[in-house]
Amino acid sequence: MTLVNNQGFFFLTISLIGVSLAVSENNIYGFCIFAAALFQHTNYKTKEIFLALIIILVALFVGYEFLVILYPIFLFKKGYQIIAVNIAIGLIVIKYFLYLLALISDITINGTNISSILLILLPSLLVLILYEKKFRKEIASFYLYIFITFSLILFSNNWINPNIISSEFTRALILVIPTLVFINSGDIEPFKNKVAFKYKLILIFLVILISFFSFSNNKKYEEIVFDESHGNWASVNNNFNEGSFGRNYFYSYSILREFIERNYQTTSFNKEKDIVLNKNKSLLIIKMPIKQLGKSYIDKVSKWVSNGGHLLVISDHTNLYNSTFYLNELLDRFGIIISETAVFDKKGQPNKYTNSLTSFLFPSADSNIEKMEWLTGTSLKTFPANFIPLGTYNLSYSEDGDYSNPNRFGKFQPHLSLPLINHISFGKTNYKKGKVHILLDSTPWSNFSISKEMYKKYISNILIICETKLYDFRHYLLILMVVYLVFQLGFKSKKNYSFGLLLLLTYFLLSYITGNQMLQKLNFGTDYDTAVYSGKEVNYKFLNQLVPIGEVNFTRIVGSLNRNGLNPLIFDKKEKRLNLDESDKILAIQPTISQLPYTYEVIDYVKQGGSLTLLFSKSQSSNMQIKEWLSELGIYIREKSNYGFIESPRDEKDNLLSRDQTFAIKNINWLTYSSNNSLFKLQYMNNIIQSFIVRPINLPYEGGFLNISFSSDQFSDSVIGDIWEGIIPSNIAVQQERMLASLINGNFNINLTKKFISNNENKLNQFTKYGLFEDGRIILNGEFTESISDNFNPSKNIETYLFSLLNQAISFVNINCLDEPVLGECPSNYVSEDMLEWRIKFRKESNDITSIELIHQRDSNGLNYTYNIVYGK
Amino acid sequence: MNKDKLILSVGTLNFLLPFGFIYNFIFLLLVLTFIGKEELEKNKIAGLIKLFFCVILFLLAVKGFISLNLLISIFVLYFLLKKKMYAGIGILLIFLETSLSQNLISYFLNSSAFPPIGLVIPNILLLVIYFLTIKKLIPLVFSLIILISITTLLFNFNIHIFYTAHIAALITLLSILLNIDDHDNKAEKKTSLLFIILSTISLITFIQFNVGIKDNFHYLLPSDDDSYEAKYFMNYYEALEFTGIKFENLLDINALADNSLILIPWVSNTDSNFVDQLNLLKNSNKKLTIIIAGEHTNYSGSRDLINGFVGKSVINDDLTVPRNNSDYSGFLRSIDFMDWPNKSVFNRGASTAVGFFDKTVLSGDLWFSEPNINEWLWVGDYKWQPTDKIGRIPLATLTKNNNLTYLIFGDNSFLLNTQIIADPNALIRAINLSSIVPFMIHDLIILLIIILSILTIDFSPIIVVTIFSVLSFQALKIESINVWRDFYNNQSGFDENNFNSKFLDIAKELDDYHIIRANYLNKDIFMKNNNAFIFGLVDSEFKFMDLEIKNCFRTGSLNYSNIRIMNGQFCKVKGDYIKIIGDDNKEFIFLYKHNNFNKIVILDRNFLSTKAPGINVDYIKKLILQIGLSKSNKPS
Repeated sequence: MTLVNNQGFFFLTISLIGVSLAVSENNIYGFCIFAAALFQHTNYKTKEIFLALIIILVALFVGYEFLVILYPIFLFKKGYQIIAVNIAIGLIVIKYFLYLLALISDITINGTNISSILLILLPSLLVLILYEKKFRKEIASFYLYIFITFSLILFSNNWINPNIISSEFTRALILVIPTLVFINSGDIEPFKNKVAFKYKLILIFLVILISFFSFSNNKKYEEIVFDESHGNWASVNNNFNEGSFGRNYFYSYSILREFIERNYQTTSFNKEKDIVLNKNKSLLIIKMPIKQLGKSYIDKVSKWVSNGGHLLVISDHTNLYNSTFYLNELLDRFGIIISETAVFDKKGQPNKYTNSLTSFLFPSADSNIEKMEWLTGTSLKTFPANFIPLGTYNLSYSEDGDYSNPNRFGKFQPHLSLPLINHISFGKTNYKKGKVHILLDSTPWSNFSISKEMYKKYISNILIICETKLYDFRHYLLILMVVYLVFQLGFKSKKNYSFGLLLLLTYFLLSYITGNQMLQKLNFGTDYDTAVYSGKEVNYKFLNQLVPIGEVNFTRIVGSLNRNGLNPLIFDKKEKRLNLDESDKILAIQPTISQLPYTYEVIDYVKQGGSLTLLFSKSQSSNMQIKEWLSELGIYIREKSNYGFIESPRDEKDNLLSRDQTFAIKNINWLTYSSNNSLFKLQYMNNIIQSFIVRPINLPYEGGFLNISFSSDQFSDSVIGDIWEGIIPSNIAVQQERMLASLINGNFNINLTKKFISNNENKLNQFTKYGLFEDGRIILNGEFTESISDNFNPSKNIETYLFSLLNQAISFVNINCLDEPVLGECPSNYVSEDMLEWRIKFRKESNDITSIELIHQRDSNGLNYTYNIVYGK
Repeated sequence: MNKDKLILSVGTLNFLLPFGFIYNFIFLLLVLTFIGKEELEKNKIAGLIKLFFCVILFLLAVKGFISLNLLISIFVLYFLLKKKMYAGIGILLIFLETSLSQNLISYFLNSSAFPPIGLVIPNILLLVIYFLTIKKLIPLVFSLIILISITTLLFNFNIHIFYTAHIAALITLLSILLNIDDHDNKAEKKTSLLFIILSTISLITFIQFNVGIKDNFHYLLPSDDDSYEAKYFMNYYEALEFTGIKFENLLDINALADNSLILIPWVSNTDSNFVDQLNLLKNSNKKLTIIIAGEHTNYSGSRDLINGFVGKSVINDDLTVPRNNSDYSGFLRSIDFMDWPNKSVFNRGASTAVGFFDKTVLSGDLWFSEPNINEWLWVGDYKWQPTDKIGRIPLATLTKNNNLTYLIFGDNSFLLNTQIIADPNALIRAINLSSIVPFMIHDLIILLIIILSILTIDFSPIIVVTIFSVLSFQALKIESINVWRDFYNNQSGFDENNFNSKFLDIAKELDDYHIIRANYLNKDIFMKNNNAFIFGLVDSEFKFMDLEIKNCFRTGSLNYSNIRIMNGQFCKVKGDYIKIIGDDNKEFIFLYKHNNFNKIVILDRNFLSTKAPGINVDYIKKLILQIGLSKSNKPS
């Protein structure tokens, strides 16, 4: 017993280090250390063991953040009331004020970034809470060691690498070693007397006051104004419709505007002089300008802000298109400077993290979002003293841009010289009467990604946060907590913890309201009309390179539903069970059997007009449970094989010149049919998707649709191309996009693209010269001889192959392109007989085609190279 | 486990576990912590002084100025001596760091045909010496059986070799801890005497080599410029200038003076003239030291050539693969007083063979060697199979034949021109090693520490190491490698932003001009008395004398006036400067004179990077031609 008592100080310290690691950086090793220390601290009393067990289990399942409440409760029970309150306050302020490290993130010593190392060592400050005179020597040794460790790490970069610094194990070990060596004995006496809580009335008053503020103070913006006067990057005015292709449409904010318009009135202006900012209750959004902001414009906006206007600035990584420079000229007025950097996680990937059920205890703009994924934003270089952080990327690196790369990205390689801290992703500062908010990543809100649940919620949260003052209150409360803690450490009172408790309870109350109550859920109808569920291996990445090998990307097809009249919402959680009450249109991509609803629910759903689309992968056709599930609906699967021709490489180069003629294959598909006694009737079918309607079929038909495909890969980015495709899309992309949207809407009159393959009936020989370019380099040029004839085998005779391509292209142009509004371009691509897709440009002079260019884009159309073939006379 | 056993275990694992992982650093930190605590508890002022010395040594070790292995062994012995516990094992652990012990390990590994045994040779050596010194034969046999059986079993089950090595180390440690006795001073003294004798032998065997710092430095290359490898040795003279040592191309072997060093980095080209020169060198009676590097799997007959040149088999017919198939050597075990530069590009070559009186200079823990399958163009799959030799693979050897001392490396990657320009430290270290002095210091320290331990002179290990580290640091440091320091921008030789490959294109034209790279301009760059091309950016603004640079605007990936701006900046410049490239208000390239030295400032970090187009190189060449012109004749 004596031994245990003598180690009270040690157990408190080690558990404090553990809990601090667990709370501030979600460190699993920290949590394990805490759990072990907590058990040791129970003195092996049954009641205390039971309590410790509950604390550990609850924290494990609902989130480590909850320990800021649970651990102090345990300490209260043990009689360490003052310590309990101070520890809770200490944990909260340490985690909150970590963002300040960004201010020293430029400083390196011996090639090692100071802020990264300080972030590891900062939790050790909490040990000061346990300071008593008798532990002076232990605590002094502890901090001496921490200081030496700090210095040694800075000078040991031969041995320390980014993997080690970012490893949770090492981070825990660095703090645990000095605790084990220097703080291994000593007791802290429990406090026996009870202290009355003196501030009950104040607390009740605060509850009422905060509740009043949270429900009444929200003055809704009368207007949200978009600045469209500084370039067309991410324009909110692009008409994103079924005919608008290319990155200018996909990477625009028109869907964002539509999303905001559901709750707010919006306007935009296209010239600086047209800006009208009369209403105080309006929010001006300036996003990634690619033109310099005029001085008078900057003056006007800053004056408006100082008079009470609210500004939201959206920026992007590495000063892309010089947008950061232009923004900084304005933001400098408010004391903010954005870095020319890109932010990424410890593995060199875009940051992503999972929030727990108790994340609201540290409220931010993503508190109600389970999984958050950032898409390489930037960070802040400086910010004013009254800056309030409202969101972070979590533990992340910030790397300077490399302007010699077109996208200005650096290497995305973790390095000791880069700051590894919790970079701010969203924050605000109060400037005179107004507010300036800054959001440091632009990609998530674009048309191709806004459909994700996390991004819609984030945008929704941002607008709520912009409107409220409660986050300001919380910020000032936290500053007060720091003052209290400093006061406590300087003049330690053994009896009075009431004021600290008041601060703490007020904080929890504010956190609950700002991090939970205020943030809203997305609603069917207003926020989305099509619910999208995903299987385990389904991804929605903005770059195909980020998709794990063997998994599939569906960013484009789901994003394209927006331009085809739908408003999809992709649920963040993979393998989420389909909830048929959630939406009257549901798309499930590669759903597992556990995601599928009961079959009787499906029948009811479709009978009531619901549209359910299930895109299974080919391999799922062998899944017995799925087959049984379908058979309960009276639907069965049957193999269908089709003859086909594909282009096929002859060697690993996979270029134009290394191929034979087309290669014949038989393509095996799995198609679904309804049995005679099924409630479903097959209404539409093609080789990749089938659509069923439900009986009884009365006219007009009022039921819904069940669409089933076992060829989900045909809708993936690998087939239809990614979101970065140019303004002339591949034929198959247009077909698949339109087909899926039409079938979800129950429309079987699908507007497919024009004919794919040309014939080559018209043999022309007026073109005599040709040039073949591979990736911009000319690799072949020459003249056709008079005796040339068609031969479709490039590896045998490239000249005859080029001649055949020309003939097919001219036929295609004559049939499909001459009536088009844009003379010189075809509305769709043509697919040559060797199954390669070509974009055609031509010049026509007095009814005579004088030159033709065929363009084959790499990847999206097949080959590993981009080819241009130019024909002239 | 008590503290003494904990520290003893740390020392043992330091010898047994593969070197170069973070735990080596943690071992050092841990031992330092316990020494610190011990010292602070006893005598505060003296303790603080000792702790201060320990911290200095720690920093020297982590920076590579003292062998980290050696220092951990010394700290462990120091702690055990203080506690008067298990000092005998502490001395054994120090002895195992000698060149004699390291050579034995390599020798047995080369002789071993059974990979599991090859892996645990250090373990076997430790167990055998330990149990023989305490005269316990049955536990020795038992421990060896257990160790070899379990290791073989783990090999058979194809357990990851990293874990196998760790399990083997723990079994060995357990064997020692289970058989550890209370200290017997008498027995320990006897054992220590034995170690003194062995350490002395280890030290004096260095006398056979050409000891001393070299007077002349030469390099010898094949004259075939058409072969594939020739580009890696193009402008080699200019590349070697990055070492800070003046190398001469060896043309006349008869004119060579005694005590010269000859660097032979390329042996995969067997043109007859080159082979003749090697033969002349081999048969010369001069006292010469030769640094020669081989290639993997007898590439183009390189192994045969070297073995013929040295007169014995020193290079094996295999391919060494570093841990994780890395391009960098990482941390290697060495008999050098300092650590081998861990960022050296020393990787997939051949392993080296050692004779009984040779010395293994470098060995790589958990490196493995793939045998040559004698198929043309096949250079290994870099995947370890249980039949591949693995363990403490010897990578560099010191040997002699007649008057010639050979320092033989199994791989020549760190000797390629681009790698020398990127980071010459490995070559500089090899040149230092060729004096043999660093090896002798290493063994001398061990000998002195063992002697002083027996004499129980307190504080001695730390004093010995500190004195020697300072002395050797002073004696062996190369006077000036400023050329490289100016050029170095924390980029590896493979970094596409490094200037190393483009530098070779302009090296001959540069004359006395230096290339200075800096992320941001600073005053020191301008203060230097040299003509220089300065590549860097301005952080908000920069002032030097009358020169003022501000209002900068970053840009890049842009064609501009016959050049390509890579990662650059246009800035407003004030002062007495000459505009070279810029627009009306802002400059990109300008000339500034300070103390009659030309400073050509190019506001671009990556102007001559590997991925920069050839037009940038052409532009610099043109600029160099025009630099000598008067101010009014500005380069176009």
